Amino acid sequence: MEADKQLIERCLRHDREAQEELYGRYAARMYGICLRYAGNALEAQDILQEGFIRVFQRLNQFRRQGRFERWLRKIFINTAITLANRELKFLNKEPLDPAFLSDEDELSGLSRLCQQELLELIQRLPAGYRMVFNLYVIEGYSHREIGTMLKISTNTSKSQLAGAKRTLRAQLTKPGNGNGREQF
Amino acid sequence: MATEENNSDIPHNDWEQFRDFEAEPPPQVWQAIRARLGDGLPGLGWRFTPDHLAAWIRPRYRLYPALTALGLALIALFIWMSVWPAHQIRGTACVNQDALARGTAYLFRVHDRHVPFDSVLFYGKTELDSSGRFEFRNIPTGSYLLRIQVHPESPYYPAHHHAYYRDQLHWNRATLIRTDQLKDSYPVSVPEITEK
Repeated sequence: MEADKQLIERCLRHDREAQEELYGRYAARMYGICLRYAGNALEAQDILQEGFIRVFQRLNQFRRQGRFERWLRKIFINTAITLANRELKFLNKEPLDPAFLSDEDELSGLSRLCQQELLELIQRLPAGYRMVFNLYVIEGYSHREIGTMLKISTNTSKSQLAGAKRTLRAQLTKPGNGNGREQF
Repeated sequence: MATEENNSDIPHNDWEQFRDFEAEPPPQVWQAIRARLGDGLPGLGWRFTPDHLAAWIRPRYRLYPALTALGLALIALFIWMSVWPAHQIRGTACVNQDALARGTAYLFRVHDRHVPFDSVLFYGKTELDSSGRFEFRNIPTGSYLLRIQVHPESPYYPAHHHAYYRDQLHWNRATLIRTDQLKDSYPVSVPEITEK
């Protein structure tokens, strides 16, 4: 398989085959990210489309010494944030969830779910919860970094995460959800 | 990606697999990307294919605001150019070659010569001066009917009651005034009403 470096060089020359190859190489992984950040498959496809357009437009900004996939992920996450901006801009006005002060919201049991079940649960979360949950729990960003990315305060980020956890827990304990995985 | 806050309640190792979760996107996504990359703005080129249409419709969050604004501006400019340019309609009213001092000039906008008179749009009115002159300013582009109404106080009333440009008693026989063929003056002669 051709190395990313050569493929990028060809893409920079607007080689259509190279662009298609690059898409084929990363589309599935990036679509996985898009599905996590989107509320449904259609939104995820919009993010994927918009993300790849940005990738091809900004490919010359990629610094060769970095990891290409990390750069791609960053672009897709930023695209998801931009496209969800309309829903996210009201987060600062939402009242803070006092649960964010507590350390008792254990969620490790979620990992027992299969990926598809987990994805469905995350997609059911409101946009703000979903965004913060993804960025903090899955991507590993700090609340301060999330605050900068989403233009919200650190406490709002913590509050959204607490809300996300509470919602996920409620969904898991609903009868019929989680196939007996209520104890987590 | 530093995590300075306590993240211990969620073991990160459990999420690593999910972080690399993969799913196969539907083929139309690439088709839409290709259309957007290949031919500039989708839907605007001469090659209008379903791919272009899909690419145009799919990004629901960005409906090309700049293009939309430009399009609206062009439409507004077209409407403004076609309707707004102001014209002037001026003229004199007379009865038997004498100036009609006491009367009112009415202007009606006509969209269709064949519509009933009821649906002709009243545009404005102005009083005649002592020399029988009248003037309408800032008239939008279009076709108009001009009517002179003699005042009851006028010595010519009621023998001379009204007239449409040029000298017709009935609107249906009046001469239309069109702003694209404007004259310097529109003289209206008010005929005498003769009983049949």
